[in-house]
Amino acid sequence: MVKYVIQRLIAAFFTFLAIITVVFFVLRLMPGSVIEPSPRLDPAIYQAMMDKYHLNDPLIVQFGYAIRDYMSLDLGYSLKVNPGSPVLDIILSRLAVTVQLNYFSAFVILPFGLFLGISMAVKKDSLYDNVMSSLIILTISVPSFVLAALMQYLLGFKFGWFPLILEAEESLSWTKFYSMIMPILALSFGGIASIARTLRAELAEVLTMDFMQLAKAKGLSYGQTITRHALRNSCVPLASTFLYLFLGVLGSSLVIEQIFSVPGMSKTMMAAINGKDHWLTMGCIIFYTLIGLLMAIVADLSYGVVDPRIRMGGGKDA
Amino acid sequence: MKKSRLLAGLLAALMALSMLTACGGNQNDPATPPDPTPSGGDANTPGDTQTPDDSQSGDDLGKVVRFTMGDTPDTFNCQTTSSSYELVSNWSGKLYRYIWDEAAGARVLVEELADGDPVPENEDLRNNAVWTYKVAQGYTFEDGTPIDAHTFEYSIKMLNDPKLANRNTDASGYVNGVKYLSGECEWEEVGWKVIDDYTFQVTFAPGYEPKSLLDAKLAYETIGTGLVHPEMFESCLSDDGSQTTYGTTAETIVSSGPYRISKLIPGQYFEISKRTDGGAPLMDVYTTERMEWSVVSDKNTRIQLFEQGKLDMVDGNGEAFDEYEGGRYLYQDFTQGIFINSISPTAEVLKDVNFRYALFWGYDREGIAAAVARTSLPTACHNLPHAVIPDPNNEGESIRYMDTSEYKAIRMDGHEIQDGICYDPDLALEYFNKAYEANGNQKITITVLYYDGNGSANAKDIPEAIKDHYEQLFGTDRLELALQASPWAVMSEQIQRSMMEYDIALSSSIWNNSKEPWNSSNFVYGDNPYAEGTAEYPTQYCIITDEARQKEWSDLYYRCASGDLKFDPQGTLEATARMEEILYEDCTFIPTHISGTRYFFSSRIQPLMETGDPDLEFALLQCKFN
Repeated sequence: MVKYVIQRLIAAFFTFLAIITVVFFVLRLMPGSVIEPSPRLDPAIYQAMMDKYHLNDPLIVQFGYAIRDYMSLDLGYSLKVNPGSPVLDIILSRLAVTVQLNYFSAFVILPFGLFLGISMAVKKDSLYDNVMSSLIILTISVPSFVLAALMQYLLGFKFGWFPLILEAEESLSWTKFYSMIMPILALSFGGIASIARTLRAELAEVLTMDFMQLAKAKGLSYGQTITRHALRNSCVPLASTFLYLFLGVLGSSLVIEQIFSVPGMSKTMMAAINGKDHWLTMGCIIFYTLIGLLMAIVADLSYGVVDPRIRMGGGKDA
Repeated sequence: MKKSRLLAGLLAALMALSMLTACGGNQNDPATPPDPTPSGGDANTPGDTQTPDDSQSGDDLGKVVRFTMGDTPDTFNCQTTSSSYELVSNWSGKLYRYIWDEAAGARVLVEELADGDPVPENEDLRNNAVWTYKVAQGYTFEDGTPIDAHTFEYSIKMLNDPKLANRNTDASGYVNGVKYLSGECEWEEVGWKVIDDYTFQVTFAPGYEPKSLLDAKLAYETIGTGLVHPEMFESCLSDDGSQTTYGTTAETIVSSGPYRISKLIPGQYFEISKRTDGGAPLMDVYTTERMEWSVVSDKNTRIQLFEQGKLDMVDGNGEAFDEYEGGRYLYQDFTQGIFINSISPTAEVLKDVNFRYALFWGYDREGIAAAVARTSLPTACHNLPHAVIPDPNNEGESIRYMDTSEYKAIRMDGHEIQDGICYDPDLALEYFNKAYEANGNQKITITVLYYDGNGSANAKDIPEAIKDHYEQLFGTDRLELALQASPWAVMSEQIQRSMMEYDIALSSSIWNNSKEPWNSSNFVYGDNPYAEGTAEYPTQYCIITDEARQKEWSDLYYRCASGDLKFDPQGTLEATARMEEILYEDCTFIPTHISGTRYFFSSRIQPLMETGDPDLEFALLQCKFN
């Protein structure tokens, strides 16, 4: 197991290196000026700024500077989005609200997704199953930003139940949490649908297996057979689904952030890419890459926890 | 078993919590209005916009103005900001500052931290490079640190620091300034000296000498010359002095202006409050106690917030808002237009001036503006229609440039342009027929590059209207325009003179100076013969095709900026008209309109002007409260 984890960490390191190398060159090869052009920009300062950020050097030399900085855990400074701010500080300042949103949405996704998946599998082919399946297909089909805009208009504007935008409070208070409900729900619909759909399919299949009859014959109640046997067997694909879902939510909340004025990571990354703020873009990509690789390792390890029959890093004789 | 129950209990609790939060009432939530839909109309219709919810109009807020911004300021450091100049001025005190004079109906330059006017060493300004400035006594930073000439020296020195390479440097203006910026001399050699605690003296570099008292004041009105707090600035410098975090957060900025930053949530909310420490300038000018900005990028959300009475100002440009009263307009000091690459290897026809003239006279400025840019000002003028210049016949007076006989005498291939609209389809067809014939009667196909508006749904409106209009006017069998969208970061490089990778580019503009209409460095060629150490601007756009005209244009530009015409109002006026005529003759930039935005205001506030100022906008820091 330890050997397996070490192998995965080493592989993750090289994957990380490959990703940041490719991203660095792709970013730098994109057309467009790093120093924001303006007819009013003094030519002397334009040159001074180009020199300061090594933008007149060959690309490979610039890459060398970047790797040297990253090795010393220095992500550099933003040039355009927040000129002069350390990239790490920007990421940390924008991370809190993104994590809050996604954390809360995960806590909505999990219970609702599990409940719907289980209930639909148990009542397979019933009216309830058909109605819920249709709703799930609808939720998957309609983009989250459409749902978000609809919710904002109806629940926020027409009915006045929720604030239209995120409350401007630095710490998480009840008022701020209340204003987060709409973005949380908007982020959650897709996840709930995804988990419910996967779980329904897996569970419905497991429920028809022979060992379920054996469990019943042993005298277990219907609920016990589901929670102790069926659900556990259905959760193997769910483990990875849920973890990757979290990653997906983390990355796909841009539109939600725009609609509800959430000052999160996605908005910052888009501003960095659009503004050719390479240092900040690289910082964001490094952050997402690290999260992604970590999630992949956790997902792999979780298989063994969910289903002990799956052994990690075992030899051929295992 | 135990674990399963625990898990089940946890899930049940979470579901219950989610249900409760989703269904919870909001009667006690002060942030949510009891009746947000006064008109019951659609959020995008002006029926709602006209009647914001008065129950939430914030009468109890006091002298507070609330509106939205696209994002919180990129930085609070006046030395590095690339936008929000006027905003940053609120906490970065300068010697002089523009405010709105309601009685005069114009902006006026007043002393902010200065004590009176600067004094020239030689009264004959033609032979004067040295000016003495006085700093007023008694002003302080918000933490009580006194402001004096040494504070200015530190700020200007750091502004032009070679290691920091700040964007807003003004080094070129001082003797040895450029040398200092490039690390070739010490600060002591720069033409900037402290005379006593409240006096400093500036020696301007050749070519940069102020030509008037106003110019001398304006040198210390620019955003870069705002003060930085020396102690805080030092603490924010990196070990090697090449980076500073000064002004990157609300905690790393100390106000020297009339307002201080009172709250900041990066990317979400921003607030400034009038200083109450007794050391701030212009306290009797500004009426607003607090200004609040929420970051809202979605237009519909802005309108909904305005209707709910949570904003005091909202933009409404769409046709749906036309019939409603109370809209006030703000026009930019940019002339929008069509860039034509007359040396494009992929569209040879653009080299033919007849084709360029056809595009110029064939552009239905009023029709296209009415259709897709309703709040803009259609114009065929290179210079701002409201540009004002010194009156050559009345010393000390000003005159509107377009009212002068020199402007009215401008001709474009013999045709008058003075109506400022210049739409003549017959003349356009005449020119097009010549160009078409010269093209061998072959169909002309051209790619038109335009800014994608960062995903804005309206970004394509003007390009499509232009394409349809030209193709209908000249015939779809003879002309085809292929539209190609581009992100601004890419497009801004493609249209630079060093690249010129386009045929025709839209969504582009030429910056104008309403006080010096000749002063568009966009067309300059070569170095300034009157000043040392200057180089060609790297970000110029259009090319004047004819080399003789290039030379003539640059020559006139530099004569006005630094040469013999600098002190000659009549000569400057004639040069301005000739420069504009050259641009018409060459016709590689076709002016189309000046962008405008229409704003609606809540009944709580009363702006001082009907039409906004490009820099001061509606001067809401000086507005009246009902």
